[in-house]
Amino acid sequence: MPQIQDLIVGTAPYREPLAGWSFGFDCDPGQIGAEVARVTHPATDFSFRRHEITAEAAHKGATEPISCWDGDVLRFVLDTWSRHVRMPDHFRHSPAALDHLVSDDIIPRILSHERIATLHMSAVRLGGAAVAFCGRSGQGKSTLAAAMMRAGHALLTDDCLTLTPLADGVIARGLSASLRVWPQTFEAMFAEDGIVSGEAGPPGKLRVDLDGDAAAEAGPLDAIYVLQPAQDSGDEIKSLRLSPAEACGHLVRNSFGIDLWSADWKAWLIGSCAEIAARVPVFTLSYPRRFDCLPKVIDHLETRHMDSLAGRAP
Amino acid sequence: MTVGLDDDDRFRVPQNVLPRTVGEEMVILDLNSDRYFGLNRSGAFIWSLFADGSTVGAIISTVAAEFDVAQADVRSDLEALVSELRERGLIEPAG
Repeated sequence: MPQIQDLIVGTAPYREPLAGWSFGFDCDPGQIGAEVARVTHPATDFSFRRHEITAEAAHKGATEPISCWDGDVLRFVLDTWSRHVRMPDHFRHSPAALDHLVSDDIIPRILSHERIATLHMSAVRLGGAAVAFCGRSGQGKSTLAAAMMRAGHALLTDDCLTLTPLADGVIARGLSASLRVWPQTFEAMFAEDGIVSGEAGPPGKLRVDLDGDAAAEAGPLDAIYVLQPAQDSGDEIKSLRLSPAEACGHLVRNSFGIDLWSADWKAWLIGSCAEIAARVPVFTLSYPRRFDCLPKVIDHLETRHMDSLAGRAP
Repeated sequence: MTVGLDDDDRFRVPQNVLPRTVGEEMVILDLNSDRYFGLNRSGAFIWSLFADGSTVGAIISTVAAEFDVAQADVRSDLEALVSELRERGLIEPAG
């Protein structure tokens, strides 16, 4: 019997789950309407203006708003009950910093609250599919994605990836195509070619001007790599496949979340990660953290990818 | 410490424990401690028998047949697994 199956998620997947959410800055009544920052996010069409005074939400339920702190500075309050994000006026946002905050902190948490698997990962296109990289902060997710991009593999994201399980695989979509790297990475990979950097917002990374390069579109995910600490690898480059249960654990650890008190949300999270882990192979990846080794790492990934394709051949 | 099991013993999964199947393995979340645990294929197989309400005797017979292992070996492994799961609060005696 002929059957039709949706393989690609809609072109604007973030609008629906974000509908009904409002954003505001704390500010003085006299400043209402004074625009301090405006960011139109490419995936959401959200605009952020200083246009309202935010009242504290009346909490009728048991939930509490999430306060996100950067050191002793309150960055934003995300209230899932009233579906409102409040940013304190004292956190002065440049457009770049605001974009970073919205893309990498706020929207991922909202998507996760709305039951869209949202993970802290970088990702690039490799062949016809995507590969994603996760690991603890500072392990090199953005640097590896940047190196892959310089080698000709289109960037999906350097920080945040949504994953949608389908019957026979997983669709990966980058939340934003910006690339933020540490200054030493920028110097090593981009400076000589006259590529421009800009402020990326905290915590000290530089935003690489991609000169209008479009992000890779959503597509099937081929593999996830968990970057191992450098001291484990010596000079060797190696990747080992994790068991599905181990893979699920890594996915849970690298998921964005805000509803940490909610048993329902946790049940959804573990179920979602289990679905993904059952459909996509997850590997560890160990390699020396030297810029001159990155071409070998890329070659390793390309070779494994080709082996994977050969293994699937009829 | 491993504890001996009677063939009529049954175990159940407490309400605060959320198991999810991953391929042939299993991931378990303890909502009380917020800790996640993984079970390999044979562990997941035994867990599914716990969840079905099977007795220890029935589990030993089923596992021995499924994995082609001597029943004495299965009993020893099952006693060790039950001890670990009970220490972590992931199963409890039923009835």
